[in-house]
Amino acid sequence: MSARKPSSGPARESATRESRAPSGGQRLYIASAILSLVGLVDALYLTIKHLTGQGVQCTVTMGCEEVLTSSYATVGGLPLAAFGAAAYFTVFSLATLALYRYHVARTLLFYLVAAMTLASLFLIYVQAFVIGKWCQFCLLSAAVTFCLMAIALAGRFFRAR
Amino acid sequence: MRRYLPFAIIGAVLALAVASVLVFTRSAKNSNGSQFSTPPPATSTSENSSPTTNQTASGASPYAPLGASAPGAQPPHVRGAANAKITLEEFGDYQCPPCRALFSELKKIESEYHDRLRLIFRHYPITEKHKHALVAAHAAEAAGLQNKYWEMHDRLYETQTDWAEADNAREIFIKYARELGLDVERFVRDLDNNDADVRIAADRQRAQALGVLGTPTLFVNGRQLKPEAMTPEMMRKAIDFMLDPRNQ
Repeated sequence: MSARKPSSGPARESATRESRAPSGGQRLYIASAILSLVGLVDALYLTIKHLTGQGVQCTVTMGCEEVLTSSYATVGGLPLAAFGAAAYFTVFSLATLALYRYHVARTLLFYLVAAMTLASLFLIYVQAFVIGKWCQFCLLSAAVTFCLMAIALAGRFFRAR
Repeated sequence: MRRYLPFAIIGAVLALAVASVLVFTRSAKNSNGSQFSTPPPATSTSENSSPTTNQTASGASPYAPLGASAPGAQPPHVRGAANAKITLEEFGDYQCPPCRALFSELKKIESEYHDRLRLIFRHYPITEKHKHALVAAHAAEAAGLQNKYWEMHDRLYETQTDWAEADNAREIFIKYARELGLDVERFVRDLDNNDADVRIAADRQRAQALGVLGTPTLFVNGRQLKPEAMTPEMMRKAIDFMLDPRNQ
């Protein structure tokens, strides 16, 4: 991950628009970081279950077994959930850095969340039309990603103002 | 100090994530047999106390007492050596795609383990979802009456995609019967045989007694594999676990 120096020092932050408002923008990065932790826990849970071969109990939907044992559940022999965990950890890292005014992290965060949204849309399509079953943990992950996308868009809105 | 704070937070989360994966995977590996959702037969005596001798001919690996009240269709459809140390009991539906995937893997496993393993197939057609599952089970039973149960069983899974959505599945099964060299007239008569319904109902009753919730469900020497453990490597691991003398 690219760790960059803050683009403005603490002494000068008070002169910026962002620091004047304890802003919506900063709150959004905090929300992103917290949401990404939810996604990270969800993805780690599925990764551990996959690696240990333990069953995943579905309590809301009725298709965890079919979805999580389908060919779409692994990529190159690795559980897809592990890639999700890596993505959520990266989102957490970027949101944290963005909160501390690493501007490059803000841009990266937006594009990463956009990519994750596309991936989530594809996986929802797979569940709906290819497998025909729903996995609640996958839906939770998708919901987290969509919320992150909404927050990222809101962040752009705040910055544009 | 503040400039290092975000990196400290990120590092802490990373360390926590890695540690949780290591701890949980290691603890699962330390508890051998974690791929099973049912306890070992020796401890699963809450439901029944007497073994069901008619479910298995294997003296080395007797079935769990679980499900003793519902032995399933008798005699069961068994493929493999009578004295095999491993008995796989599958509850399947001929129209369910995961069952077809399991069928392909089980064929490989059967050839790998050869006379150390035998397979029992039990019907659990999910008729609410699979419109041809029941007639497919009937077709297998009808072929079984002419001693070609497993040939039809294999054919049904191998060609599942050909008939699963077809309108004339029954005619397709009759065609299979002809190709397998069966007496077609008798096969057609037996397709509507009530005895098949009785056998299917008995298997279904056993499935319910064992707590089977869906298909495919696989038992290895009476212990149910967790759904997530039905991957090629985990199935082999479960079989190897059962073959280990320490676990018999």
